[in-house]
Amino acid sequence: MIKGKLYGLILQKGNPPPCLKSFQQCRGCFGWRNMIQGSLVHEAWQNNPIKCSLTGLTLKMDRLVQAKEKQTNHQRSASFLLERAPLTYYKPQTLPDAVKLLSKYETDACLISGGTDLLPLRQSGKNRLQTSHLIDISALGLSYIRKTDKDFCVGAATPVNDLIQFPEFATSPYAALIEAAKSHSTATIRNRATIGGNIVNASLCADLVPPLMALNASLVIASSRGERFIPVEFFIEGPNCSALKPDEMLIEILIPIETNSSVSGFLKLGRNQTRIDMAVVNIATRLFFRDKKCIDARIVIGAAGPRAFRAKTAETVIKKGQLNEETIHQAASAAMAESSPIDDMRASAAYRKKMVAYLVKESMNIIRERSIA
Amino acid sequence: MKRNDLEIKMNINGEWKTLMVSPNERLIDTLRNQLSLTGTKEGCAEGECGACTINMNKKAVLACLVLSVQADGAHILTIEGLQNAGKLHPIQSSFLTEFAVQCGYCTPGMIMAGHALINQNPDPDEETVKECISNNLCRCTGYENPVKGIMKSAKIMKEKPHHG
Repeated sequence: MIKGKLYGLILQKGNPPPCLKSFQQCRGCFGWRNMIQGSLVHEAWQNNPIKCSLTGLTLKMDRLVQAKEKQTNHQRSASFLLERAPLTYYKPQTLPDAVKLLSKYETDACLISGGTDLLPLRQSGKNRLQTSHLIDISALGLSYIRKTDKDFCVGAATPVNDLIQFPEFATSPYAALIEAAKSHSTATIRNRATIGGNIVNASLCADLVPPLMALNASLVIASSRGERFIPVEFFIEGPNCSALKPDEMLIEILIPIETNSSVSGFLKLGRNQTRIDMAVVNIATRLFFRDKKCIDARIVIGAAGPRAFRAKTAETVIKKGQLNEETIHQAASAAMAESSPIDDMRASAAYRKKMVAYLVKESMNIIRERSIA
Repeated sequence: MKRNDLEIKMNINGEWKTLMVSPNERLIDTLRNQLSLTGTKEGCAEGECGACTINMNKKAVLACLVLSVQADGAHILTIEGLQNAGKLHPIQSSFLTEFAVQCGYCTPGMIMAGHALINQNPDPDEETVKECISNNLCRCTGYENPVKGIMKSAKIMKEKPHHG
């Protein structure tokens, strides 16, 4: 959150600048970053205080910023950072070209498509994405959804909004994927954010990973050595850590066309103030039915462990019993026991555990309703 | 010009322009600094506030999350490109009549998000409009009036499709 960051900045700098003492009154219509940046960088602002006509706040730096290094320190968090590192940009036109570039630079290269995760991360400094080569994969034609005999093939650079608009995903077994796509950030960001980006980031709270795991999806990974396949379930190994080697890239997601009758659903618990926030806990469930009896279950829980995982004990409970209050309750406690969440800025581990149980119950009820309908 | 600079071509508000940009440069910096199109605002610089929303190939995108080099060959529409010979676009005038502007910092972003929506869906319901501006953070006007403004402009544009 912006305000949280401001606290961070002030803490970093020691004494808060006088102009910022009353920042809680300002509604931030001007943008905090611009305010601080302006007051630090431009002399005119320091000498001539600016009064906000809306809030009556005055923006002025009494103490001129003493050291140049403070400026650079601050600039690190602003857009200037993008200018800092020399960067070479490539836009290969074919997949072999892209793979060649990737095997040439390996860890010093980074793929970019939508950039909605990458660019803020690059700006925040200190991370693995601060590479000096950027390879744009948008010209490779990886934005498509095709149907073959066995699978739906989704290109890695397909924007999340395109998934939502694909008519065949609206049918029953794929509901979890569409619901997850709809709860992924906001409509504007989804125009750029891609399904591949959501997976390779290997964020433990990625919204599209649990439904893809529930749908048994696998990934096509290309490198100079050729192509290989890996199920989504084994692709993500830990927080921001995937099975992708430095010279490999994700090109396609295969979602098997399901012949058995199954019903799926997705639930995301986020903080309510802003739609854009990441999940506190998310869960994708899919139950297989034969003669109105549940024969198999997949319960995938995200953001409640180092990676999205299948709650296998809970699955067994559901598989063995009737889908009634009692089994649902048992499955919820089993899933809660299986989860191993952490405390972070969004929620505490204890809260997350409780929410895992709640979401399992809730999604089982939803699926029960859907299976009857 | 620096060593790594690249030449790009963009259609900005109906006019093709050739520019030299650094590969690190974000679209919002190119728009504001090189082209002096300062109607597009920068708020949080990380895609949370939506103040920098523009239309790129008829879709609403955030100019702070697009590199200028990625916009090579794209059609860009900013708030400055909406008016036609000094006459306000219906979405701009309905923002005025519905009092959907207070301090105005988020307004260009809201309008561009609404514009992309109406292009795609000429008859949006209230829920769709709310979903469409869910990426636009406003701290003073509130969201009621912008929603009303977008709904009203959709109605005007449906009646007079050639307007604007």
